[in-house]
Amino acid sequence: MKWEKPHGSVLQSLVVNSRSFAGGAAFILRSLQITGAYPREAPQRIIPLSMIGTQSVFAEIPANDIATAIRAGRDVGLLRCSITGSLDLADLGSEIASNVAFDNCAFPHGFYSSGATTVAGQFTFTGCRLSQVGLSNVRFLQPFQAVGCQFAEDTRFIGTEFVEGADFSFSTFQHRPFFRIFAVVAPSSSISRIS
Amino acid sequence: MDTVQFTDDFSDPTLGRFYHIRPGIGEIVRRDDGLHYKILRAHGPPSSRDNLTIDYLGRPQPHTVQVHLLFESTGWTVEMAVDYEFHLKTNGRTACVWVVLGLPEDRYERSIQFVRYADLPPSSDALSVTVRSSSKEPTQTQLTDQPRKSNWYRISRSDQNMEPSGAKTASPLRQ
Repeated sequence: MKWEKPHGSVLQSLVVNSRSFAGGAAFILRSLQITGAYPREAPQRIIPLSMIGTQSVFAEIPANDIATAIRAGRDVGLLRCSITGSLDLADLGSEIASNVAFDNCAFPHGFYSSGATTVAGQFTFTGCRLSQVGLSNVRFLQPFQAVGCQFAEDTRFIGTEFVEGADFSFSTFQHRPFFRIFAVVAPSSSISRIS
Repeated sequence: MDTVQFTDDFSDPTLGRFYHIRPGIGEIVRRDDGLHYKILRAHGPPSSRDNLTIDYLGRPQPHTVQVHLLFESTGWTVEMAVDYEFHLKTNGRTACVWVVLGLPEDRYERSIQFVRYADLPPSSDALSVTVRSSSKEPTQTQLTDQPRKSNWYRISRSDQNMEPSGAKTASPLRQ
């Protein structure tokens, strides 16, 4: 089997991953040899900020702790947490590089950007409950995902740019959201409901 | 003329600096006998893609944990020995090993992928190779429907040609 004229790229990647329905298997890379090239050293990632609440009690984390972690370039992964205090993206720097994932978290206070900012990392919200959201004039370079979320209060995406698309699947908006002059370059998904 | 060569039999922990692990569903542990990948379940069926997606039943499909290793050259040979432990009879499980022309996120455009798959019935067991080129539809070739535990893969690139090959028995690099 030959692959004619695959690409002019001199950069190659070896990727090992999986997909599954129920899990329950394993595999082991026993040895690897590359002849004719030497790999790059992997970028050093700083230890991410992570916190996990229980099924019955959310863990409380101050928004300031999240802000401090993002300013330091750390990734953030929170599961079943309640974020106390408002989180202002514009206060985190002109370009945010961290990958930030909120899973089943609550934002009883505001989540907004008080000025134009660029988010180069990936922001993911899954099953979250958000109050006031104001991400106007924010440029998301990675796919933005707010899946299965509840937007309980005023929600604004005015002039927001979703360069790699946005996914609002299965999210509900208690109030009519503002999506004005926003831009989506890549495909988006919006199986959402306004109640 | 000396040929550049990278060899890792996982006995030297300092070589771990070349492997970038992208978190996701699943566990990856580097031990002195190999890079161990445990396939796990999640709230939805974890996918091999990069982003969270939703399937047709409305289930979130989180991405699985990934190992990345990047290298630059237009003439190289990659050889890998991979052991599979697919003994449990659970629903669909797939182990993927890719060589991508480009960055890891380009793998659905330009790549050669070795796929070990099994579902509940033993007849579903398979080892195949999928070739993706952005100019053509992906082509999948089944190497065997009775995969062995230990397998050896070899992929070569010479300028504009890439060629995969697989063997049913492992050829350990450990000297």
